[in-house]
Amino acid sequence: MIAGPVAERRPGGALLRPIGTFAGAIAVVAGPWLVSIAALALITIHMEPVMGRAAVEDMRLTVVYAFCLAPLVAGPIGAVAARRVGAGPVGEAHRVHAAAFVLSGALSAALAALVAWALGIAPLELGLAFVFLNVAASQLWITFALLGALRAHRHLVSAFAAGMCAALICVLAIAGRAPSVELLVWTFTGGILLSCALSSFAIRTRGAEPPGLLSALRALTADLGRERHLAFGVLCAIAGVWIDKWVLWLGPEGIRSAAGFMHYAPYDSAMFVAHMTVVPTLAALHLFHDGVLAPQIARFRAALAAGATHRHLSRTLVGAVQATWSGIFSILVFQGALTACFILAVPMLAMLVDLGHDQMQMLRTGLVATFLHCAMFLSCTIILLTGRVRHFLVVQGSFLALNGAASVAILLVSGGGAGGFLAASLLGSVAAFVVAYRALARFDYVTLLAENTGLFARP
Amino acid sequence: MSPNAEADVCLVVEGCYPFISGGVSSWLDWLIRTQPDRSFALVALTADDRDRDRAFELPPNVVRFQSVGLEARTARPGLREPDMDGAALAGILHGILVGGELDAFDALIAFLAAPIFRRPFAQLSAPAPPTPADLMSSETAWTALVECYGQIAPSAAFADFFWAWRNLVGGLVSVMAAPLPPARTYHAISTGYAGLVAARAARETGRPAVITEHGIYTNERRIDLVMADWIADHVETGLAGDAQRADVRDFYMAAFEAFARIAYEATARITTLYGANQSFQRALGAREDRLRVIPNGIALERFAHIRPAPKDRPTVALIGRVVPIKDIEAYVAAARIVRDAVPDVRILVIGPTDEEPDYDALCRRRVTELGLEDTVEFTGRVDIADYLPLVDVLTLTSISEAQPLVILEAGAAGIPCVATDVGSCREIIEGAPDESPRLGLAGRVAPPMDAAAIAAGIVALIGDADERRRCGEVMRARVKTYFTSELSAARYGALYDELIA
Repeated sequence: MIAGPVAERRPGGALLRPIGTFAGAIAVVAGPWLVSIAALALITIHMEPVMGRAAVEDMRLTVVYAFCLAPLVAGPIGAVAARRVGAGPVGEAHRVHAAAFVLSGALSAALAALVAWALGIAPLELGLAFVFLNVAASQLWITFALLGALRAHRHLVSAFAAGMCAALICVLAIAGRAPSVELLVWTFTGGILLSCALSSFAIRTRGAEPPGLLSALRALTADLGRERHLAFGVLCAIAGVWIDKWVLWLGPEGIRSAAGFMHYAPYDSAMFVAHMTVVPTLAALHLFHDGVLAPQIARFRAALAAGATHRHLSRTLVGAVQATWSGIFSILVFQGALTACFILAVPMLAMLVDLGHDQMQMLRTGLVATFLHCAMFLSCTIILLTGRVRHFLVVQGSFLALNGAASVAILLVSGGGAGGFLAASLLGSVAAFVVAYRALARFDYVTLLAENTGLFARP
Repeated sequence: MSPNAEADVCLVVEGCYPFISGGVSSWLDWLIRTQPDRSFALVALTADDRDRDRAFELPPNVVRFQSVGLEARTARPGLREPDMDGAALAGILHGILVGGELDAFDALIAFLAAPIFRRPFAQLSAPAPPTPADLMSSETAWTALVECYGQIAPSAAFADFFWAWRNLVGGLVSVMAAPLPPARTYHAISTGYAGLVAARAARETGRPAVITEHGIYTNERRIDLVMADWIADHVETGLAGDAQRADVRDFYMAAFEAFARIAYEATARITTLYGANQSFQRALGAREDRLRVIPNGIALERFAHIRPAPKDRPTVALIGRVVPIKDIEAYVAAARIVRDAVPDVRILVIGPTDEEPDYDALCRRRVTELGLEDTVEFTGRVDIADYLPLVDVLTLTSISEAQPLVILEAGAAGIPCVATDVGSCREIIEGAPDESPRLGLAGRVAPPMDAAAIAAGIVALIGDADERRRCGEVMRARVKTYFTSELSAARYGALYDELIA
């Protein structure tokens, strides 16, 4: 029901095939993150005895900060670029790729430099390495977005795995020479850049014309202006996941690392585990989108183009609504069961990842909050699929504001925790569901009228 | 021009003056200039809001000009929905688009004036009348559209109905939302959207309105719709020809007829150029006591002095643009038959050939195929006064006409005419049914697209100099009695005096 015809393409028996399909989906949606987490973990294990805990912590925080800041720039640009690639001719990917790389790289570098200066990151060599790591991370996000739009998921995962393996090999090779933190960061950056380079082959082979960079940049900037609601929505979505962490990092409980990075390890560790538990939902959504959602939307649009009467369109739409919400519900039930298991297993998880008693409570709250955030994410997928981009921006912007305000309030009242994220996720999931339900139920109106931008005068 | 000055007459025109040159545009320019003591406002309805070059310099007594685009390119609807009754709106629009009900039109005027809230959070802003975007793109507008679809054409392709709705209701909303110039009377030069503007002005301001039709707008739209290849027919009517299952083409036609009904009912006077046109107006509900005939007129002094010049060959001429509606092909086919009967005949096509190059090429190919290279001559754009002395018989082979000035101009020069039985051609050639005293025959009338009948009429006149002279004199007398510029201008002046008083 969730996987639809996608599952039937995979070899194997009746039991192995769905498992294999699901594993493949996990690899697509979370493979790069899982690989980078594994690489970081291996680096930590091998380098901590050599460099000391503080240095390895700085290296880890450099990566965390880069993967926090870079998406703020590359996420919106990647989303808009991916739309252009998905909708445009084959040669478009090549042109958009170059422009997105340059624009996101420049903006990421500027943002990283600003943060490094504001936090007083030292030494300067580490600051420089941090800036370049941000640029590399932004390129990675752009690559994710474009290869996703080109449906080149296997290439993406393979390229990323190759890059991370190369980084890991290099790190292990220099382990015996007591490397500095910035050297480690440069090595990691090199791995990411190698991943991007390998991924770029998939894009270059699909486009024939060399890009005219200036014209491509102008076109991408124009696209960003035209799709500003989507860009800001994505920005709010990404910032919304981080803002509770930023509140704690910059709050009275925040800890400054040796290099100057602000963090709050108890919260960060607990929420990291909580966020990882929703990877199955992302995988299920990927299968559901390709197997059910997209075909349902395509079926409706095909009926419209074929001259269907409104009665026929309504019947098609009713079928799409039923299939969509039953699938979403199935995913949520599945994730809810997983979350419940994880909540029950918190003591064991705490032992595994060395969490304290306070962190166990944070983890429980975080697990519920990430489940609700996952529900909001699913509804937002429907909202975007139906074209209600302005509504997506309002939902995500409200979530960002609520998460930030609630996190500050809870920090002032009780010293911190995941309550802000929980409250924002609860309200956000309800609001997003209402918007998504209405958008899908009136998809005929949304398609022909409300989001048919060709009908409207330019402001 | 002063934007706030109240004009004596507000002219409302659709798709012609002052942007397009042609018969109706020339007539409008003549109308304004022959009423120099009256001030005019001009509302020109165009397809969209693009800037356009003007083909005419506006006369000095035009005190206000505005252009209104009919295309429904509204602002994007906001996140807050207007609090409107979709069912009520559906009822009103159905009454206008299908029923042609003046009550529904009045209800729409009231609907557009009533302030509404927006939801959610109605308290955030003061109530205000609905905008064109609310009427075209809101959820309420969608509800109205779907409801009307279910009543009008439930078997039609919904996407096609949607676009037809956007066109028709969009134009309706545009004319309802456009500012109305202040005037003492409103004069629309067709039904359709121009007629709706006049109807709206009459209902909102209480001022009288008048419609003048050259061709009948609904007939012309019917021809356009029958020939339109951009409208797909999805409804299978089967062998029984189920007339109940309306398609989008039927919806368009019903809407234009409905617009005409509303305009006829709302206006004080309905004029046309000739009596036969009134039958179409009556069929669409025009009241007898409002109907008037005011024929076109020509400047007699420009043509009355023209006398036949000596020439070596009998000459037949068609004066008009080389375009399909003039049916030059039939003329060329008739020319072959005439040449067989009168070997030395000279056949002229006098008029611009650059409007439809493909059709011009087709006609010239026909000339070659029929071996008429030494008989038929295309002159291009010329001053017809230079050619009229050379013409023995004027021919008009149009598929559709209103009151062709070219027949009147040739008639003023005493040239008889062979014309197809379209528009007022029969009335001009044979006299109106109520002509008194009867002046007689001024030429011959033939069925449209009938080359043999057209040729027979030409041969009958070319071959008989006395008959030709008699018909020419009748035509000259008829033009002098009924079709002078002074007569026509005086009638319009009297019409305005009657309405403004």
